[in-house]
Amino acid sequence: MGELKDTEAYEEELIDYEEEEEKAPDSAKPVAESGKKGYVGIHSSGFRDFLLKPELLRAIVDSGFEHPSEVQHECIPQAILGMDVICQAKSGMGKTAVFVLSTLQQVDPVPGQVAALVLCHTRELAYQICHEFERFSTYLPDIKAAVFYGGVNIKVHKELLKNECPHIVVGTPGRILALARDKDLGLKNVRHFILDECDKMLESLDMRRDVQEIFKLTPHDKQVMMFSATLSKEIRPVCKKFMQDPMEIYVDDEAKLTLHGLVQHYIKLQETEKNRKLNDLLDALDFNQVVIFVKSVSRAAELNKLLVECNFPSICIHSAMSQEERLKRYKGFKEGKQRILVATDLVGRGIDIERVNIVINYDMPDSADTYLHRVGRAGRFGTKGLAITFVSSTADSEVLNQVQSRFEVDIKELPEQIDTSTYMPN
Amino acid sequence: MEGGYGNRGSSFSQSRRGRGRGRGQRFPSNQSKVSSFAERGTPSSSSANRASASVISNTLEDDAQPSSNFVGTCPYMCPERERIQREKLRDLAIFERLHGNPGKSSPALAVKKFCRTISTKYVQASDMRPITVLEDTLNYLLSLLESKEHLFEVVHDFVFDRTRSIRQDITMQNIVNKKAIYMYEGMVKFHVVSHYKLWCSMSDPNTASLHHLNMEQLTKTLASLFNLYEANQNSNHVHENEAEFHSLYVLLHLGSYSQPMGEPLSLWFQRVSTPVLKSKEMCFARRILRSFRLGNYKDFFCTAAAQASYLQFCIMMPYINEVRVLALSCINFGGYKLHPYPLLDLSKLLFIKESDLESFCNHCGLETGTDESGNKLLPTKQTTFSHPKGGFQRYSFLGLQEYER
Repeated sequence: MGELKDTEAYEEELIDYEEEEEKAPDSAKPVAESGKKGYVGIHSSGFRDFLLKPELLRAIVDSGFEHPSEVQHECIPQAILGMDVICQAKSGMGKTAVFVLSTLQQVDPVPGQVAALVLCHTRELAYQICHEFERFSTYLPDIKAAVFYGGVNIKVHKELLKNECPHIVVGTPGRILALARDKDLGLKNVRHFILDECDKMLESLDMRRDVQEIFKLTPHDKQVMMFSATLSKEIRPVCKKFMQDPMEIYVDDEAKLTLHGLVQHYIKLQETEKNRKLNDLLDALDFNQVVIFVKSVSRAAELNKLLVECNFPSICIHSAMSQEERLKRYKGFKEGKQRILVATDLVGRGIDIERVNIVINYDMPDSADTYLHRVGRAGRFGTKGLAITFVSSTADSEVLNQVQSRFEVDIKELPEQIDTSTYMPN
Repeated sequence: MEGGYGNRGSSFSQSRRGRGRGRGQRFPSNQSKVSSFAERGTPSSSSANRASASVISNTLEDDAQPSSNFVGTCPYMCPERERIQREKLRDLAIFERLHGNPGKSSPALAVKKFCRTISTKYVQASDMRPITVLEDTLNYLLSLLESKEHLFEVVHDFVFDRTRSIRQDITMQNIVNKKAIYMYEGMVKFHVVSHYKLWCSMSDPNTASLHHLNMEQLTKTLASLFNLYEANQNSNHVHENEAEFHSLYVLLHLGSYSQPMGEPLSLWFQRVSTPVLKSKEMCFARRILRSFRLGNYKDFFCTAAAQASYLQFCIMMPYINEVRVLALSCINFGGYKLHPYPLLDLSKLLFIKESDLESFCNHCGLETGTDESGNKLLPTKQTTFSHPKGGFQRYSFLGLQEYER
């Protein structure tokens, strides 16, 4: 009996070793199933295996998070150790939680010291990120987060910084730089420097200059994390110049950023036919909330006016509005007070509105990347969505072809009858 | 090695799970499950004999006790506030519309929707469903799967989202009792069966996306189930279905052979309890995985045909054709040119209908022939063999015919 048990244990160990054998005979290696779109890593661990603070775990549970997403699995274990991270993952995969959780895990709140700085390129996104910090720091009462962006009287911000210096600052580059230059915002204690939607900031030379200025005002020894849904081969080296030996995560890179659950169509038509077509679509489609993208402020205002006159529940947001007005409208749309949002690319990135299940590109985006960010507003979080793009010129067709080749997607012409089950929640 | 298996086989005779249990019954009967749970006492606390790593994990678990006093009070499948808002927004699924009205629902139809950006900071107790309501909700959702009125993909979408919301309510209330285990087992079954059904129509790109997303939730739900087993662990007791569900996790690694691993399986084995590790179901899964990786197609098929439960079959089915291609490759390159392989013999070897096999061979670039007696043959040493492009159509697997309803 004793010998039998010993033999059994021995075989068990051998079996375990065999199953991890990497070098199987070549002829025995099955070929991966073709047509597979992205890969779901098989994990049996959860947030608690990341050894996060119990206060963070409590907030994670309170927020209904059951398990880490693939991105969080890949990034969080390294990020909480202070490693620089550059991460590309499409909308809805949990990039925000990566830097929010890893920052909260590491920040030691010292009164009067800013420990973490998050830069993003729109005010709505800054507002949203700050909200996430507040959500996850529920049980860390000593940690304060604040958001600073242009359009608000700078005196309000200066007063806030003087009286109640936050430990985590979220903001847009222009306003942050202004506050830092005037010495109201001290950055010499920053240990975590984060850029969300970093390619957008670094591609624009003006914004990149601002980011570089801010970067120089922070200590050399700090963690740098950068995130975006699109990181072209050209922009990656630029990102790395801010970093030291970063961990690079490009989730679903091989799958070319396939948008799971999103149905995509185009319509060929003349410029003069767009309004009629849009009207017909809004009448015919069964939607929760729609975002209609146009290419300029004036077109947004005009289109919204037209829709309101046709009794559609429409609202618009663009950069010509005051910050207060923009935020008010953003909240209103988010809460469902209106069901149609006409917008420029200002809200094409990162904005998180769960009920949006249709995106209409009234005007063609200027690049494939912008297209991805726009249509990512629908079908987020692995839910269903529909994207329709108006094509009215040769240049439009060229961008559409770029989109198809870049994202491994076959965008078909909109059929006469759309099966609503393909984009409506059933 | 074979002798060793013979010895170990006898030691598993105590396993209570027979192969037949998986047949024909996709989801357990509601009434019997409820009554059987009611009869059981509270499980004792976790065993003190934990490895140091587990002790650390356990300590963190205790320290990180979520707001355990948060208990939902919502008596409906969908909180009233949400139902009213979604009626106003016309955000109702097909199954939630009263008499087909997209703007009207009812407490008996509306089911709480999954919400990614939720937090107890903004949620009231009346927004959260207690465990008994969640159980009723899950039973309702699973009953929709029996419906013939709608396409499976349509039903899947709805159940997928709403079971996700159920898991969210369980997570936020930190429910870890036996009922939660039972519910999670039901949800894992849903995703496992969906894994197979969605795979059958993989040629449709939209279904391919559904399959991908379903796999994502399958692995997460399974991970939660394992956490629940551990939280309810009793040193002398293995939950009725615990071994089978652990075996599903092993079988999922069939697909990860040429992909980066999420976590080495050997590390995971260390955390599995000995009774589960030595169970018949786990030994089956590990044998299948080994045969797959070694390219032992004969053992793979024979073992699967003899022992696979329905759920195990659903996980394995996408990879059976992969092994068949391997088998054809071996036979084609290794066979004698002067002795063509009878298709009838080959179909038995690969557990496939002879008519399907001919189509399968052609799909691999192999031509079939006929001898003077009219028997179909596969000439070997053909140079036209190639791995099929564009995936496979649905082929039968003999020995599991009762599942193909």
